[in-house]
Amino acid sequence: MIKTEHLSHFYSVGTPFETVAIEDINLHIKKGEYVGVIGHTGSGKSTLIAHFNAILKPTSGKIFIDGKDLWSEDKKQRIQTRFDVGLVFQYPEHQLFEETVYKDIAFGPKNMGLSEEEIHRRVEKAMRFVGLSESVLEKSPFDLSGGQKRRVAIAGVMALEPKVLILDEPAAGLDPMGRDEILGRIREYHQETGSTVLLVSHSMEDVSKNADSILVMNRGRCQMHASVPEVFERADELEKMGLDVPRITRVFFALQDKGYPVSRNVFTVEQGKAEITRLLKEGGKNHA
Amino acid sequence: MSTIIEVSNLSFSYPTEEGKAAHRVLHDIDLKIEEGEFVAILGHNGCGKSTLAKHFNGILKADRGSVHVLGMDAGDEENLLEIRRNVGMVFQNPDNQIIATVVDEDVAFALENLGIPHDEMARRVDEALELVGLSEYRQRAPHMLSGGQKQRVAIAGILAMRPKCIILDEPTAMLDPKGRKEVMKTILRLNREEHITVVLITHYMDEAVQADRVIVMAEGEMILDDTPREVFQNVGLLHSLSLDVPQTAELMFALRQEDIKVPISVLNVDECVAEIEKLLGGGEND
Ligand SMILES: Nc1ncnc2c1ncn2[C@@H]1O[C@H](COP(=O)(O)OP(=O)(O)OP(=O)(O)O)[C@@H](O)[C@H]1O
Ligand SMILES: Nc1ncnc2c1ncn2[C@@H]1O[C@H](COP(=O)(O)OP(=O)(O)OP(=O)(O)O)[C@@H](O)[C@H]1O
Ligand SMILES: [Mg+2]
Ligand SMILES: [Mg+2]
Repeated sequence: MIKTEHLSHFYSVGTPFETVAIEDINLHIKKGEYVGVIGHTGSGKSTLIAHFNAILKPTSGKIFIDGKDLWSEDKKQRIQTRFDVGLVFQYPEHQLFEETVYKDIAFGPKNMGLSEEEIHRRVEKAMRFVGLSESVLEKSPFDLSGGQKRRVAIAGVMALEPKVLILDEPAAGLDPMGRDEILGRIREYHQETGSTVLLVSHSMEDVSKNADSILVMNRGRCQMHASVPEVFERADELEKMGLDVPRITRVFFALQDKGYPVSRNVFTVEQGKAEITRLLKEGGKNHA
Repeated sequence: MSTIIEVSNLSFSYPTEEGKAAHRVLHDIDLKIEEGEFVAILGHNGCGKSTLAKHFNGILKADRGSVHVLGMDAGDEENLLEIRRNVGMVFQNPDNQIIATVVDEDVAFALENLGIPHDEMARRVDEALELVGLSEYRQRAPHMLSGGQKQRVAIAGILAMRPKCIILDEPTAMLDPKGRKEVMKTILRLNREEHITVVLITHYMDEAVQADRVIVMAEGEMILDDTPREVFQNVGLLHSLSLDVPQTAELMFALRQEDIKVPISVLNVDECVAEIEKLLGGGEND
């Protein structure tokens, strides 16, 4: 679905502050894959994903969406990509600009040329998706709390019903239940529509709960792209890059270090519970 | 110990366009924060955390009731300069905080307004940038930084101010795990060693666990106000208020549902490992 070849992006080219934000990225994200994107502050995550719906143009290298070269002569491809690839920005304030919440969420569908009726249906559906109440519809998006703004920004992108959904720290600022609910619905959307999802997150817990694979960015390079267990197995390397493994995984690493016969592949509370009940059944006491 | 923030009977509504009924955001809040305390505030989106915090340094003014900071009425314009010298705030969105066009000027901005001598100012700016790991970015334009880097600039600005009380509104929301740990370590050090009062608004339960006191809000009211260990016993109540418990407590909760006898308030990895060891018959008599 998304392929890059030697993709690089430099900011402020030709000034003393020229920055290599991403360099020589060669990726292949399959259709229907759910990818967690992790990496230290400034590692290039936001820069990378902004290329996937043509907001940023590569300094060098190529991007293919669904097999088509995004920056070929044919401009139509890029316009279509803006509708097919929905991107939720890291800071919702960078995305909100209409006078009311309703208009903000309706903006994308309107641009797609949908009927009033269809627009209305999509706005309502998107509101339910993010758990916003009707009472905020006529408010200015700027008069909302941080978490409410975040929800409006996510709703605006969900209303596009995109084939590829890219979310840059969507859970930052959401309360714990909002986080679980919205990430849960994104997973459902992914399963029901077969859409491709990229979730940029600093929460190892959220990534392990939702993604099939993890892409690790480090100093502008793609350091790993593998399954969740394969990536978290390399805990020491992750730590050196400013990252971590889920807290629950730490518990099981510690137990194993103390000689208990536990699995190292525990990334969620559910898996932790299963592992401990298994141990209790087997008598637990067989450790050195 | 002296009281640094005293809120009595505070109610607040945002002004509305004419003709629309005002929606009350804060209801009869009573709260006292003593000097040297580390208080975490939790609550669902839109419950009023940021609104409450903006009363602590006079950005918003009480409709009813009062807010006193170090004994000064925060509703009185005359006190604002003195209050803001003592209470520094890191806003929820760093874009609202960053003013200057160069990182180190931004960090120095508040100091200049406070009339700090030049040498002292330079020293504090260096130190603050070092603390948040942005020394090499000091000559950059803030809008050319990544999301987490901007957040660090905002934090550095407040650290350089050295106020008596620091209010942080979700300061780690965009930081990587290492950055989050470092910010928490810095907050704890300022609180424990320099006795700076800290008010931390957060959606991360693992951060709230590190405070001395946790306040839980819902719908503009204070629901719980206790030590983390007591607060995180209330798993059911917290869930019903859109909140959570640390992942380690979540595991304990899940085990109890299987009739396995473990305590709930297990707040960090070490405690959790110890409980599981007890369960498996190792640990204690090892
Ligand atoms: N508009 C810009 N102009 C110049 N440099 C930039 C700009 N945006 C980002 N950078 C730099 O490019 C690098 C990568 O930034 P990017 O925003 O992609 O990181 P990130 O992984 O998303 O970080 P975070 O987790 O903090 O959001 C950083 O060193 C940053 O300072
Ligand atoms: N400037 C404003 N004008 C009108 N209403 C506002 C304004 N700012 C916030 N509100 C409303 O006041 C209520 C409380 O908002 P506040 O920002 O204090 O919530 P919060 O607890 O900080 O939430 P979050 O966790 O999402 O940051 C919300 O219902 C919000 O919509
Ligand atoms: Mg980013
Ligand atoms: Mg807030």
